[in-house]
Amino acid sequence: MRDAHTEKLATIPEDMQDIYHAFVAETGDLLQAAGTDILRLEATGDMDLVAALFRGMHTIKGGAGFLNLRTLAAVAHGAEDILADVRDGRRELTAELIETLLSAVREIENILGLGVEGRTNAADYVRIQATTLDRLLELSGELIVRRNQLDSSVHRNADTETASNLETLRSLVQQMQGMVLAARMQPIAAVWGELPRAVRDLAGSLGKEVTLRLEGDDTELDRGLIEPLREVLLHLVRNALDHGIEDSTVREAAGKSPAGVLRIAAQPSAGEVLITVEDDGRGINLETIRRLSVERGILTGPEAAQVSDTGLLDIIFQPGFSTRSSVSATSGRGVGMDVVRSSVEQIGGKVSIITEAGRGTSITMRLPTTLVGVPVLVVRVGELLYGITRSCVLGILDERSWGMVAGSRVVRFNEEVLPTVNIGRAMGVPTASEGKAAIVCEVEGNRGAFVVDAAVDYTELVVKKLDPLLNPAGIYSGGGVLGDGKLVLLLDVQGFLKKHGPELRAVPDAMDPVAIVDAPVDTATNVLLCRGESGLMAIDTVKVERVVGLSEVESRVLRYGVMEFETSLLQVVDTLGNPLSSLEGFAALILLAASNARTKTAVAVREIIDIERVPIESVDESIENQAGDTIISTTWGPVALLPQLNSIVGEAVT
Amino acid sequence: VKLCLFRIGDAVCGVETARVTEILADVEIAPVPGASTHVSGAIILRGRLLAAVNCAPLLSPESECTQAMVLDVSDRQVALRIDEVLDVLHDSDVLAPVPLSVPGYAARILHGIIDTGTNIVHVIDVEKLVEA
Repeated sequence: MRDAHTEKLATIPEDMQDIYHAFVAETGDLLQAAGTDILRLEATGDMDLVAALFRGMHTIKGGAGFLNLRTLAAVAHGAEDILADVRDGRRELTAELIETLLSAVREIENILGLGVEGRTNAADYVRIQATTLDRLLELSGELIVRRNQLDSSVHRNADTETASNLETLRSLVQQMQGMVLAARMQPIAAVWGELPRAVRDLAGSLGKEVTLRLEGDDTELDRGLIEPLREVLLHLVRNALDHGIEDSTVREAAGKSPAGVLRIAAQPSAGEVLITVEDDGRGINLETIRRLSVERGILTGPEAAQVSDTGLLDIIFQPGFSTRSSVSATSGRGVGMDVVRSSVEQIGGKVSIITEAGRGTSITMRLPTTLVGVPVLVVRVGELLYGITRSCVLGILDERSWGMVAGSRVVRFNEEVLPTVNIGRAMGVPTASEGKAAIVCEVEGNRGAFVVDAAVDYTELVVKKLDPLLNPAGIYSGGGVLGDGKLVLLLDVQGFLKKHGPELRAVPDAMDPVAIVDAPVDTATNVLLCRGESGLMAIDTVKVERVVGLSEVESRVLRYGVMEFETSLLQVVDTLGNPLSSLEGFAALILLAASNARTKTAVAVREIIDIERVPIESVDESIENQAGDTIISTTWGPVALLPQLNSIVGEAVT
Repeated sequence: VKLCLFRIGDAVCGVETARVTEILADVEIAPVPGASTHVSGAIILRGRLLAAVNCAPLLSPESECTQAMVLDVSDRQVALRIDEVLDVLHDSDVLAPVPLSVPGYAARILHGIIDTGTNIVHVIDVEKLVEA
């Protein structure tokens, strides 16, 4: 290689040698970038990369022509042609094409003698087929399942040697799973790369000025999460530009810079990735949402008057809240925010929103970094196990909340009457009972309940695709295997209902039970005094549904901050709103009465101290301390009212 | 084409050897309600879920089919329930059409038959087998 290079050098006239050296150095840089770009192009299909590669090859071709390096010019020219075809849509970007481009890069490196010392990046990459990575993940998941099985069967009568071998095996499997997951990680740059163009195009068509700031492009995500994220981000970018950022004249009139700023940032955070989409536009007008939610029948007048800011923002995520015409007529934002929420939840994430009128809106998505398993509620129907994605389960009801309407079974849930589908009956599965538990689900804003024999467990399931022969009607979204080797069929709730059930539908106010009579005006209210994470605090008992001492609670198993409690799901947080993973050291759970919550929320406290009646004025006209807490005076002295109760509930359920 | 011969009940059957990837003894089949006709459920094989195709009702209803044969079919694998593997048939160029007396639903999954003198082999059309 070196010799070929020296030979080449000899053919260059003396007076051109300096130019030649400069050319080699520049080409070295270009090729290094090209090597990386080609691999990124393969991973992302980003057309901006094609353009960059084309420019690089064009530069190399020009230089080579000038120095009369004909072979080199021909190779660069060939690569340039391919890239032009791809750019103009005449050729599809195939694996072979990528290979051809990479070999062109290698050939140019060889001709210039850059192959040995110049190439670093490309040589460090081993290209591996995407399907191999998927398969590896499947296998390592299976390995863990088998190891757990081995564990439980050997556990009973293991001698020390077996036990220690098993322990080693456990650690090896763990390490391997870690490596497999690491191999699947992709920098978020794959998505960031196409945003500048999307923003530029959209801003141009809307006639707005927008500055895009991208942060954290080296943050990594599992490759399976990249694609759904891309779609959600484009959605949010469209919203921000269309509804958030104002025209430059409007901005200047409001004393803002003429160009709006859209900041999109990714940041790793404790095993999760936080992705923020933030604009400095007009923000969301809460009063508009309040008005619209009444007009649209989402809230009743009194409800709308009472609902908190967090509650109002939550309505944006409800399907049917916004239609295109109404939103562009008002100053709101929210086209398809329900779609955003459901996409994010499908990949196991959460989305929340903060807005300030006139100042802008910030949307934060909290995504899992990896795709180890999908949180699933496992239910039993006869001898079979079905899985329902945790994110669409609202609660589990027992027979006490069942009723009949004209011979069809319904359940009462949060003052709604919901239709039910008996899974066993729909699927022809023999069951001993008529069903003992109803799983209340919400799919795209519609609610209904599945009747099953029992709710068995919450678990993380590594979901595998089902062969079409097993799933001809599309009622399953996949299957998974539990630690004991049992198959769990994951219901595609939507698909299942299409085939077997009534469409889940909301039944608004069908049971509106109590006409609001003139209630006597109360002059005092009760507060519950308890000790939480930051000392003594009070909770208005109006907001408390029930207090449960932990000695009364049978199951203390918390998974993902959720526990099962009397056939319902309970999201358990401490007084600061942090989800708990253990109830160690806590004395009681305070179940919050939050009618709009998708899951019940309980606040765990260290000690219940007293219930005290305080004058309403002392709640209303109380002063705020520096932390923004409301302080009321009690016989125990000034006590902070449990800060931002609504945001605790909101936090836990969004 | 080499054929792998196996038994489903009384019926001697054959598939191209090249399609057979492994034989599973004593398979456990997890029921999957809603699966296609002639699919008994799923077999959990090293982390994957394979459809367990049962064509015994078409060929020999009395069979027990305690084993399964994993077959490559276009882009995937399925498990065909069988009783046992018999032999490999080397010379199989004498494929005869399925007799007209065989009902259509059974004839559909057969390429044809081969008379070896000792047995009449049902040559199974694997692609047809996986059409839902």
